[in-house]
Amino acid sequence: MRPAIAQFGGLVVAPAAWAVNMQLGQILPHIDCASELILTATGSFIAMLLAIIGTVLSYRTYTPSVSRGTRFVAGLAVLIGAAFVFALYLQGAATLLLDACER
Amino acid sequence: MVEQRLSVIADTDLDRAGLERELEKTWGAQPGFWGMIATVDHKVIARRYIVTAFVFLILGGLLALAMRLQLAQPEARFINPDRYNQIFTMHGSNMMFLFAVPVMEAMAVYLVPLMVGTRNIAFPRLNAFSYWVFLAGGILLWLAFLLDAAPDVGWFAYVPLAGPEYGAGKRADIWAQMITFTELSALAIAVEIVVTVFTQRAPGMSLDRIPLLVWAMLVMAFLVIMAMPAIMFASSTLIMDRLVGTQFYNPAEGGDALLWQHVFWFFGHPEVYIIFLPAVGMVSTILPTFVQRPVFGYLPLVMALIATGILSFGLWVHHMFVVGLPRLGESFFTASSMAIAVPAGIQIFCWLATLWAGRPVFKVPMLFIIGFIITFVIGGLTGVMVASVPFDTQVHDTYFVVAHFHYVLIGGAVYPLLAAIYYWFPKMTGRMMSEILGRWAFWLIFIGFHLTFFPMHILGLQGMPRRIYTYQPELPWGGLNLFVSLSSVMLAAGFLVFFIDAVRSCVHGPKAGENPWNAPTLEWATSSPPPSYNFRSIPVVEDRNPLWSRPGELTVAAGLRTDRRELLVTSVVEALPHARESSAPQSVWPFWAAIATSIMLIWSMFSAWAVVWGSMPIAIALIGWFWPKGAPEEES
Repeated sequence: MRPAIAQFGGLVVAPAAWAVNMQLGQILPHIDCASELILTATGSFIAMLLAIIGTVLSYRTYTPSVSRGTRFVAGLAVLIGAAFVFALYLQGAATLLLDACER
Repeated sequence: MVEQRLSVIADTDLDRAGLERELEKTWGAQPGFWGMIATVDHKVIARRYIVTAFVFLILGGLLALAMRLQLAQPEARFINPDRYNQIFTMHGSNMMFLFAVPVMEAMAVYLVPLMVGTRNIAFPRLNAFSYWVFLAGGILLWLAFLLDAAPDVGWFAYVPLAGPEYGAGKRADIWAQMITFTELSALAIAVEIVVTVFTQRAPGMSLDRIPLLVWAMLVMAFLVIMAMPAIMFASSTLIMDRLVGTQFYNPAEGGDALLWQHVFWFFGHPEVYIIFLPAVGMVSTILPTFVQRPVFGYLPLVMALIATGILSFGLWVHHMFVVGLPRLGESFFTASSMAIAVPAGIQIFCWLATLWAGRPVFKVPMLFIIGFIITFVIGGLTGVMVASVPFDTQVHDTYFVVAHFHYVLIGGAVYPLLAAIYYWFPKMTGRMMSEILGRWAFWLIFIGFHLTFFPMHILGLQGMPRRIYTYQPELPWGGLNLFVSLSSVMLAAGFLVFFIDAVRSCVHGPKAGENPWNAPTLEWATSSPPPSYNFRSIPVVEDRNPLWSRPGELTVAAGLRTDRRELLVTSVVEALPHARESSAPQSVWPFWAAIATSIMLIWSMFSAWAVVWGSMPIAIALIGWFWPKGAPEEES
């Protein structure tokens, strides 16, 4: 992938995955409870995986060969991506600990 | 055409004195009353905002003292229950909507153009409009209070209490419309800040050289743009429910009372960060000056600002843990509430590392920053506690929560704001504040604050609910409440000393030079107070701390016209010069547009037809605003 796009991986993909998972977290527990599926957990770990991929893409752009601006954005994206990977990890962990029907 | 070209005056055609004279003629405000009304100078408007917001702080503080007087002893009869409901609603609404958000935005309006090295904020007339609208909203709320018609539904106006079923009269409408006023003004400023930062930075000020305060204000502006529409939707639909019988929040007719909480807190939680992130920027800017070394961890600090801003939109349900949502869904918000402690922790460690590696000079701004770090860490710890559903269920709606959010808001935002006032006061007024009075103010506020609010944690754990106007003598809260009330007098005394110092220093303070603190950022590269045009020539930036790396004269960009208000437009990432653009001259029309908007908004609390008829004067004012007047700024 071109550095011009890849640099934004952690900055865009990771927060977007987290935002989508936040919304799914309000919808999927009802379905999981009614059907005994594990959609909430699956969704969380897929979102975490996407966030990791986005962050790794940014990390691969963070090299001395790119311009100062690109390097700054890539570095920023790696750190932000890591924060959202952590947030998604916590959400994923919660899906393993709590029952979807619990209120 | 040739004649017109010859009349153009560029800054390269003039000597220093001639250039300053010419720029003052072009950028200066007209004298007199209408000149004052029509001004679009970002510094003048920001100073008005700051003074007005601090007046609202004083009024809100007096209400807090009234509440403490009432709660100092059991079964007190100083304030009746109805007035008490109005007072706590006024206190919260006033402090959040008329003080905290506006004052932070006002600091941005003053500082951002100076720190990015430009001559005025983007959309300067919109800036003037925003101030008049904000003022009208504040006057509306306080007039209602004087007339015993103030809102009494809490600062978050939950339905159905605020709905037509239970909220008789116009009290809830006044709350909702005050929201519309203040959010309109906040949105206007947010747009100005985003455009100023993205297009008007000094040449060379690439993304990695933007001062941290400017980064903080940029993130705050995006938060305003994304969060405020939610509350404007909420306040408008509430008024419609109450006025024309829409049923957005009425479950009996297919509406949903919980929708209100979702929409309100989707705004309400980012609101906390709208107040807090500017404070982070202030601390990150002031601290390096008082340790005389660059801030440690510029990149992690920028990351923390952006990550906090985004994460703040995933926390709102932690205000709703007891409404009965699925536990699994709630746990997602617990996770995000815990995760936001990571960027907050990174900020704290970066500041501590900056302190550790430098030579701290404990002037008054620095004292407030140390006070901030201590207080905010305590507030952050209780924040992690209430992010946990079982704990929050126990302390929900108790004084524990009151203690927590005052630690976060006063410790996290007001301390840095006071540091910022002491720090930038010389720039704004040309005079220094008193070190002696400043130290008195700091210690009274710091000790008074902790003595006032720490015991509230204990009161909350003992089960004292929020918003009660009195309590029975048999309950074990009397002693601590008396202690808290006495301590609040000490806190108020600290603020009194601060205000005396500010007023006295405006007139009698020792003269400040251009850069009394030896600070590294661009606002200190011009006189104190700055002239109407900010900079004689637009500076060129070569690193993050331009005044430290080039202590003499800065490299400047030349070639701007001086016979019209002209700015340099630069690219978003690298800040390369792209174009010369005019900045709107002063105009009285933003004032008339604000008056027309205020009439329409107030009238619409009483009649839906106000939206139709009230729009006409607004349209006339806007036509006047944009009507070509043959000014040089209108040339393409």
